[in-house]
Amino acid sequence: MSNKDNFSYDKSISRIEEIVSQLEKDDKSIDELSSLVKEASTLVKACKSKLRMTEEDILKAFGDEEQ
Amino acid sequence: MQSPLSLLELNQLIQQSLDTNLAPSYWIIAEIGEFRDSPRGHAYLELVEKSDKSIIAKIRANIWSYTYRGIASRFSSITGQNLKAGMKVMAQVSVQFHEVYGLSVNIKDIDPNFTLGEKARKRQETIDLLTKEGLMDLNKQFLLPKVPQKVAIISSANAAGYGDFINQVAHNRNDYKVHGKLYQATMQGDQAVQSLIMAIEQVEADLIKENFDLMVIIRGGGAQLDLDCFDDYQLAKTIACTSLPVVTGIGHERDESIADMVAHTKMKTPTAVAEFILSGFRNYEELLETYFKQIERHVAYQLQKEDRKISNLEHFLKSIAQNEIQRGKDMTRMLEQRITSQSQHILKLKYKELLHLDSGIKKSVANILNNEQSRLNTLNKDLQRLDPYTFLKKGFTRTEIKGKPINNLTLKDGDELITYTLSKKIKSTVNSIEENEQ
Repeated sequence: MSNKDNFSYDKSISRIEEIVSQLEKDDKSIDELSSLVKEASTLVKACKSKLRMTEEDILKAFGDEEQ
Repeated sequence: MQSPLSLLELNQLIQQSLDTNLAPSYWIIAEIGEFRDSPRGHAYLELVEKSDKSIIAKIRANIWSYTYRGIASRFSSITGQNLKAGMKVMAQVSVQFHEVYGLSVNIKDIDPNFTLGEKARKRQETIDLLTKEGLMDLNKQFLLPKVPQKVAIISSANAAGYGDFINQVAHNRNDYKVHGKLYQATMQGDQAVQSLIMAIEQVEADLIKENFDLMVIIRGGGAQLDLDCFDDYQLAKTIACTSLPVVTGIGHERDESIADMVAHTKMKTPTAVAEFILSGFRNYEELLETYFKQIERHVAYQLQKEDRKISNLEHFLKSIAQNEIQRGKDMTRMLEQRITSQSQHILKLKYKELLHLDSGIKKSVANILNNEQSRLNTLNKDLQRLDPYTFLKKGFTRTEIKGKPINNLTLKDGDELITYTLSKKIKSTVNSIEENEQ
């Protein structure tokens, strides 16, 4: 829970972009690459989930208002 | 020449002539000029006849005691008075001539009815004179005081009537206070007229000092004799001309004296005078009570009127207030409706705005989310593209020297290479290096 609470979408996106640029430089070992990709894909998932939740929250909030 | 006669002979001749020529008696009418009783019981008079107050005939007269007793008692019982000077009488007389005492008449009888008629005639004369002089009703022109509190009393302190009067006034039921001041007067006899006039004049003199409301002349008890004084012209004139209304209470035996007639009000007895005065008090008190009742009625009526006025005003105010309240209510209802409709209008506008904002936000959110989604997708694609396993899967390999990809290094013979396939890690050594022409 605390991980979720501390989760920052903006920081995650920055991290993903940083990883992408690192990957694009192609100066890391395969092991490093692998872990970077894993980290990035985890972050992507988290970000997607965050987006979904945000959408839901917003819809829910407006839906409540409409009632 | 006739031989002279002696005086006696002459007087005897006169006597014979009279006896021969005169009847034994005559009825004559004359006024008693003088009158005196003798110790022997005889009465000696002088009879006169007057014309305009001057004597035109005079003769001496006598009544012998035996005759006098009978005449006097009959006379006083019928006329109510004694024979006295100034009285007009009809007498039966016989003419006498005495050689020594001369001419006189001897009265044998006196007709009291003549004197009575004469008295009535005289009385009528007095009344006529008073009427002619306008004195009969003069005193009646005074208005009686409403409440005669200060009364000048002309009476005799010893008279029973005065006592009756004082007693009646002092012990009245209503406890009215009457202040009386007695002016002493002789109420009967020869002195009465003068005494009464003096007393009345004394009252006049004290009038300002004593502030009298009323004068009363009262007597009572005593004989009816000698009440002639109240028929006297001078007394009647004095009474008529006083400055006060006069009430008489002279006595009840006779009908009415001239004093009664000229007085303002005539009562029969002193008690009746007292009652008359007290009735003035009573009338006044009753009048006051009537006034009080009238005032009370008037006040009650006025109060009722004011009460009605106030209650009308109250209703009026109430209805005005109710109208105002109603108007206020209508006004607030109208304002309320306006506020409601206005606020509904505003709410609708705001709601529209909100809906607009809402859809804007939703759109924005959707945009942001879409953007983020596509960014993420791009990143994800980049990641997939850059993932080493992707090209390893395709059959490509990756070669490193000491953990560094070889494309960035300068290779030389003998370098140890590690090549990764999808499933293998291959170690090799560089034997030769050639340029790739493709």
